[in-house]
Amino acid sequence: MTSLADRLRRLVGIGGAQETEPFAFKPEDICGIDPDNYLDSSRRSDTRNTRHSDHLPMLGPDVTPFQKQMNKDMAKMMQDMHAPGYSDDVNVDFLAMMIPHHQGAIDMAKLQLVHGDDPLTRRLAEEIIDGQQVEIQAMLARLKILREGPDKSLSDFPALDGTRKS
Amino acid sequence: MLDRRRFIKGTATTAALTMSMARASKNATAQQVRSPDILLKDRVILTNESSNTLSVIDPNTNLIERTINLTSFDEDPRPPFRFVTRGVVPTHTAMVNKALYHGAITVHGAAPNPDQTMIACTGRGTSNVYLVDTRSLRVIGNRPNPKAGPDTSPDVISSGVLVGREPHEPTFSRSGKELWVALRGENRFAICDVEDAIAEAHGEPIRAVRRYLPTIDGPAQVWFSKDGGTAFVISQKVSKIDIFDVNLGSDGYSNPVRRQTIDISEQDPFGFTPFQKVSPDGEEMWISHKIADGISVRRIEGGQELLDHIRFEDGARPNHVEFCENDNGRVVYASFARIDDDGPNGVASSRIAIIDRDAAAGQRRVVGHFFSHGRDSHGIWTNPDATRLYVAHEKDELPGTPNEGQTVTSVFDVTDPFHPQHIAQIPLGSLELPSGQLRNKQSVNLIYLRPGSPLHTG
Repeated sequence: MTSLADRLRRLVGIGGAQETEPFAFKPEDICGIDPDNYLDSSRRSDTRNTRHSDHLPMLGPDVTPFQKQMNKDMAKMMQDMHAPGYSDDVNVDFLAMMIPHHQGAIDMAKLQLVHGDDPLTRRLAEEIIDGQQVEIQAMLARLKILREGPDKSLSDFPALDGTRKS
Repeated sequence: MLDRRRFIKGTATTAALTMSMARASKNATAQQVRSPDILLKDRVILTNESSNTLSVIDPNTNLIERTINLTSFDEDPRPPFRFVTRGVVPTHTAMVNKALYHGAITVHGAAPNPDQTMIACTGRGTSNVYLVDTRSLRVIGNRPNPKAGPDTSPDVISSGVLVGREPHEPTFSRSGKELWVALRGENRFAICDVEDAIAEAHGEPIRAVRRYLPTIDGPAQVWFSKDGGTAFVISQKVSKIDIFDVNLGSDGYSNPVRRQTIDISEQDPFGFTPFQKVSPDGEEMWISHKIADGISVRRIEGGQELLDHIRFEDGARPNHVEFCENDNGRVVYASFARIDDDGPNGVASSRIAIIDRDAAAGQRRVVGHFFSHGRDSHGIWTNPDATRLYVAHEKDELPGTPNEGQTVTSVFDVTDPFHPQHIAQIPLGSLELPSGQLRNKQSVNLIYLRPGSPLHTG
């Protein structure tokens, strides 16, 4: 079975062409840790008491490949979302946790394409993959900028919208 | 001539053919093609509907030569004008909604003029047509950007030629003096004077539409008979074909008059017929009924008699048709939108049907399929010698596949039209804008061009 660390290595594209793929993100991009230790949730205090399996549908004796992989993907998504832990920056936390959330949606949508036959649901799945992989790319890039500190360049040309009263 | 029984025996199952295709693709590389049938000036151009770009492939290398930009991003260095703003990339759907965007929206149809020196492509959302010089590969009417620099684009995009709502496929008249654009949203054609269209694209205060031609609801495309005297109009709203006498004057301009309207509800009960092409000998029109999963063949001369109606499997959703005729046989290919899970090396792929055109009229049938090596195959076109076939795809490759997240074009060796051999799967990559990368996405039309030569398609 492919471990999450291996899978993350694949997403990271270590030694491969996938490094430049728009929806490949590195674990350290969202939580600053090494892929080899990515599964070691005990190192992060915020995930100590989380039992992801509590939230997943139970699999019966006649489990289908779809159900099996769906549970696996959802478990991975939950684990990856909790992995970064909270910082003192709402914007950074949102982006760091939303990236694996989107990757989970992409993984689930791909499963639907492999196993599902309703044309309109398949179309939705295609749109989820299309949109969310670009949003991952945007979130990774924005996260990198925000991690360097407050984005002072915004004052050069004020943002058109997305503002709030401080 | 090919022994038909031997061929049928050799392609008795799709599986055998697709297995050989899989083996061929495994050994494919992008640089291995150099053929006397391909000239240095040849190019393949694709319209990418979601990215509003045109990809240009050099068939001598099967590599992307350039991406033609039809967007207005990065003409100004200030954030509202940029594609990527401080790391934030808009989705393809959202990008054209950015404030002050004035580039193309939903680039879709495309066609070459008779000497292949220019193509027209439609902007469905922008209600216009862009003209592209196929030798310089520049958008006609673009002007130098006064703010050009390291952080900005070199050109300001032309507004193109305004034609009307929901333009689908453009078609040049056989004289090359007119461009007919099917306006699905207006139930009519815009007939443009090509000279005026070039002037309008350059921003001159002129309207290139010389007349509007009312026709059946939802016109998808017009295609002309080889002599240019008859225009066939298909529709994506009604089960009809409208036929016009073009009445070409000595000046090369038309004065079309409706000859007849044919009911095709038996072949297309849904009224969704998006594409047609005339055969190289000029005798037949091959018409794709996408939702009805079939193709019909009609005689050009006389009363447009129905010669064949070929049914595909349910859900095949045929898009375009292309003729491939060489010393080894005469076939018609039909690209399917349907995506099958049992593609080469376990990767999902669409199929392309092979129809034997040497069979007598009334007996044409599908004699084989091959995988397109991409998802949702759409535009297809051969080189002039009919030894290469290029295939556009609408959908990206899925995660976990060799070109994941990329829109791809496939190329086949069709020297033996009955046994296409996969040469390469070409990822279209991205348009490199100063602010970031705009990924080329959702190819629709594809044209193989030999600039300066007479049109080699039907």
